[in-house]
Amino acid sequence: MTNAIEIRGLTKRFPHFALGPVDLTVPSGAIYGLIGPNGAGKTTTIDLILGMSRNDEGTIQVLGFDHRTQAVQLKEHTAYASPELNFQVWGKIGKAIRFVRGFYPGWDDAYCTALLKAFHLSASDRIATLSAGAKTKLCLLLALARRPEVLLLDEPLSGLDAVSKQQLFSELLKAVEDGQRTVLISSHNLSDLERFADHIGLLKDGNLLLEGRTDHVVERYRLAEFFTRNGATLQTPPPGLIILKWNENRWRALLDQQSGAEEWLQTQGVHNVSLTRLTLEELFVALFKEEEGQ
Amino acid sequence: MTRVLLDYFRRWWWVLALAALLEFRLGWSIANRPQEPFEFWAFMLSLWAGANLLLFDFKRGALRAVAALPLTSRQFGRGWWLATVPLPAIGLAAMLFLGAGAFCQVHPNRALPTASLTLGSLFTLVWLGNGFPMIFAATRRLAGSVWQMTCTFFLSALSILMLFGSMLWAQGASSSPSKCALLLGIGGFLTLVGWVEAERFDLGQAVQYFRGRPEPPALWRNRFRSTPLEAKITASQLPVEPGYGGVPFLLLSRVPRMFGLLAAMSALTALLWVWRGSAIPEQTAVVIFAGSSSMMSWGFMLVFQLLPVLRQLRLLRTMPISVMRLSGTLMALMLVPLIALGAVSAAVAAVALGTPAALTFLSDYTFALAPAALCVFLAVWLGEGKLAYAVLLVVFFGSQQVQLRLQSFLHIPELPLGLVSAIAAICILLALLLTSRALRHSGHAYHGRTTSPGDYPFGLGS
Repeated sequence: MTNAIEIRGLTKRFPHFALGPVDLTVPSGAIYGLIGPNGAGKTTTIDLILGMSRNDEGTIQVLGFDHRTQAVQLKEHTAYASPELNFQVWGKIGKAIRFVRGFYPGWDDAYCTALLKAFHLSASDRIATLSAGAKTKLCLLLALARRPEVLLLDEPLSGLDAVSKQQLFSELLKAVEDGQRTVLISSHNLSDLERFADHIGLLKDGNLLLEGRTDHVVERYRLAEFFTRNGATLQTPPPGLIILKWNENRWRALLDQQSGAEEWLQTQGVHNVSLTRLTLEELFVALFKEEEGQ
Repeated sequence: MTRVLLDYFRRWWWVLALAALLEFRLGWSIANRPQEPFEFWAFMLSLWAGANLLLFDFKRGALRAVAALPLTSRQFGRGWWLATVPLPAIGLAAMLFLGAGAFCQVHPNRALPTASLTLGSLFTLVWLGNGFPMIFAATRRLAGSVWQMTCTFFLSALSILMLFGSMLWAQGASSSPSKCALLLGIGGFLTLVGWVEAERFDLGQAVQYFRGRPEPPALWRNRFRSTPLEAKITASQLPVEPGYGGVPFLLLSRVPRMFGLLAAMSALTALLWVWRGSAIPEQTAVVIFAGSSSMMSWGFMLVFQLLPVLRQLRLLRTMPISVMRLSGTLMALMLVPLIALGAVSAAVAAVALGTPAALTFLSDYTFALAPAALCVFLAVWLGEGKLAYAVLLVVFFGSQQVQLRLQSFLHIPELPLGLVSAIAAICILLALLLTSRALRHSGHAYHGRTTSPGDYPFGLGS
């Protein structure tokens, strides 16, 4: 499998925030979920891919195109959607479509019409009077109808109702089903991402903490509950064991199954160890609780 | 209500402070040259120190934010009326008198032009008073009984007429009893109307107005509908009109419209000048008219053309065009209507008044290209915010001062076309390069453009 997006050593420093160095790989044909708390650097990463700021160090390649020297070619094959995009200057949806369509020879008029119908939009609708969700749908329509090879979606789910979210993911799945298209999606909506994203990357404070196939990442961690005897404490747990809570003899911890922490626990004389599978959201919360605790 | 007032002044103190400083300078000028008309500048200052500021707040969603606060609609209405009409009027009047007083203090042999200052202060009050009903009456839309709709329409039309009428016609009003009576009569009436509007302000209606039409209930169509990847719809069924798109569409959909609007405004202003006649010599009148119309034209374009387009800079940057082409597009949006207007104005002046007048128009419009181009760079680089607006205002007002200083430095009544062409060319080239650099490097150029001053409720900017 080749990679659609390859980011190596990406660094960007702001006065109060620094991104990276980030190494991120998005395989071709994948839906890649970039997750992280507010201010983690998700939007900055996507902005840097599209040249909406200059990175201090590192390289970004999309479909083999360098984001600096081949920016135009990169954008010819890439689409971007975000609630931050503004089309109000066009007045009506039809005019916004006409403007964007002019940049892409491969624009699919029939698909655009189908999406207009599916999203309950009309070319004659005034953009200023659209709801937030409808504006997001317009954004997605403009991104999808150009049939891009890489789709960058920055918080596309904000403002969308449950039906529209379902519809969006349905469109995304169709878009990637031929294996020719790739989606990088940043979102806080972890339950949806867990279902639809086949790869995830977890950003925290500008650093990529985790990256991999969604099922592998979720399978790797377990919520461990166990007991110690006579109020004994655990001395210096290994890196793969993150204590979340304890109450006298009862302990709860996040356990990385690849770290050997489970074996370490056995050596500590704990008993009644139970391991529970976590959802992506629970894993996310547990990981960040640990960060806060430290 | 006090908190409403304090909140307003906390957010807009810097604009009001700037207006106060300029009003001080205006007072100084009135005392220095009591015979010269001053009304246009007093009007411009009142325009930016009143309800327009409130309008920016409303466009940014302030109404929805305050709707949950434990205050009545009436308290909000009163508070905002006080904050945008009488209090700034008192402040600006004080600064006007203070400026004139300071001049007389420095030059003890000069008398304080009390009549001009009093009239200037009264004009400022009625202009501020006019801004309020213009915005608040609009929020009610044309709804209700026939009488209510007639009243709303009449008041909106009257306040808009007052606004544009003052812009075109108020110069010299302090020395013309008929103009003075008309301004104070209509303005006074609208100021009182503003107070009534404040008293019967309906917050809920205003929230709806600035929020726009809510999405229609979708109960009957909320069923999940999936779109086939290969849609079975032919291109001929596309509801979007065919034809070119992209950058040519952007330029051709905005530049001719802006040119038409500016040309109509200039033509109307010129007709009014000719109609009312002028006591000043013809060539001086041409110089004043060319200077003010070129300056107003690019100022108008900055607010209603460039800033609304920059709101979609994020979208434009994701399109497959090079940074240099994007910079060129932004420059063209600003400069092409100005060049066309300059050429048309010069041609009309050549036919009507002769070659010297045409050269004056060419020179002024060419000079205007320089600050207009620099504003493209500054607006891109600084993004949206107080600093950006302050810098753009400084460039707007400062450009005329630079032109005057250059003329006095070179001891010539008008800058020659060759010199202004060179200045404009250098500024355009510099602005083009700097804009390209800002587009590549400035991250915040793409953020925070939630609204722009060009988005007026009466739709000029959209």
